[in-house]
Amino acid sequence: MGDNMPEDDQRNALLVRDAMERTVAELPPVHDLVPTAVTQGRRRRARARLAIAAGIVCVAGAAVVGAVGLPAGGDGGTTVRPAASGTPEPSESPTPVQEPEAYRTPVHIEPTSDEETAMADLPPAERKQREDFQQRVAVLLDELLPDAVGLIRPVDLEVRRYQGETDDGKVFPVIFSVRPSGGGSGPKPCPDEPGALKGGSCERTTLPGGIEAISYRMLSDSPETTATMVYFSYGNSDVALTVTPDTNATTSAPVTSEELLAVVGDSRFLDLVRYADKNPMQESQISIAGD
Amino acid sequence: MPENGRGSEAPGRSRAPESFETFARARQRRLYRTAYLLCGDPETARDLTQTTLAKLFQHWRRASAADHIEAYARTVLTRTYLAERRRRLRDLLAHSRPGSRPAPEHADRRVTLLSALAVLPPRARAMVVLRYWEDQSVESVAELLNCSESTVKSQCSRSLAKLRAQLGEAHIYTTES
Repeated sequence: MGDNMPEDDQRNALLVRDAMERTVAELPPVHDLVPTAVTQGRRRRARARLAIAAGIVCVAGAAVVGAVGLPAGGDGGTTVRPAASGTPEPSESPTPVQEPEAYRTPVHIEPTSDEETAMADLPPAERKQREDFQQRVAVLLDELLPDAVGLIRPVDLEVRRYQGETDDGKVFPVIFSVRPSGGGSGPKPCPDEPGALKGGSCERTTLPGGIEAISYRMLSDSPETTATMVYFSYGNSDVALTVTPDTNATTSAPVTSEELLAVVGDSRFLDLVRYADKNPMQESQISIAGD
Repeated sequence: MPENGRGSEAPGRSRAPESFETFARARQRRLYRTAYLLCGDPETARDLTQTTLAKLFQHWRRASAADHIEAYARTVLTRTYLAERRRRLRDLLAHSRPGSRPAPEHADRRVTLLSALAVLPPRARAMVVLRYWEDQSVESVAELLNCSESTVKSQCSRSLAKLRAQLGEAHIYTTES
């Protein structure tokens, strides 16, 4: 490293390197990042394949349109071929890596008010239970939600909070809430009045086990962005699953009501709801405002 | 310069194909440390390392065929860091984001290496980390960052002088000692 370096630079370089050594030595150990990287990597591959396939279709379509539009004879008879894909990738076998146990690094958010208490302040056993639950939820939601929502990670502030983050940096907050109902009668029916949802939509469906669920897609956070949410009752709990827009990118939640209803109808999702209903981790509805 | 014990790679050695998991498990800590020096914040470093590993997984066939897979991984890490910084800069220019993650604040109010590194522009910071932490030659850094060797030399020299000025003559403090 010190070849041809002025003496002063060499001395500075040694000091900087020493400081670097000591700085990284104080870093806490990091969780195994490999399982999540594998999930993300698979997603990237799938997207790349899709993009290439779409590109080929577009080019082929353009070629067909071009060929039809060209006059017969002369140069017009030359076939326009779609460019061969020179992208040196997506033909790898999709299953060379054994599926490891996934761990989703939680997103850290500081409480912003006195009413907000972080999970970190809970007794260790309670905190561990919630963290484990969040991991299971994050992994399952990641599998069930559309890829456009991004990689799902828990938020360490509250058990109900998660977020999806896409490769291009969009962040979609996700709420999965199971809390004691406090005697409520379940989700309200869709409003009869057409204008009541102000351009949004409402759907009602029946989940496995005869559970009535209602889904809204409504304007949220700005006049240009929509959130998608599903509500239903289970056991003694009110359940909500919501995907909200990325307000900074002014991008709506990239999930439809049908897709979100399919998520909550999945038996694995309902298993998590059942667990949370039997082991409540949130306050009852009466004591928390805002949901 | 003495061997720094961070695990060395054997230049020019041809390697047997390695599974992604084996490689990633063995190298994730080192990549994480480099990422930490690049971005100065453990959470961002974790995200950066994870994205780097995901990109390696995506292109594993090509990556594992590379002569120097470590260098390949380092290149992905550095370019991902620089791309992310460019994106953030664009975002900052496009919107005011009061809710975005604040710059890392180090517990100790003293001047630290990380806060000294933070005053460097991203490319200069990457050069310093690659040269003095990763022990990369001027040629390698120039190639990785698509610039001339003289640019690397002059930038590194200027950056070292800046770091020295920030850190002071007597001591270079680490994050929290």
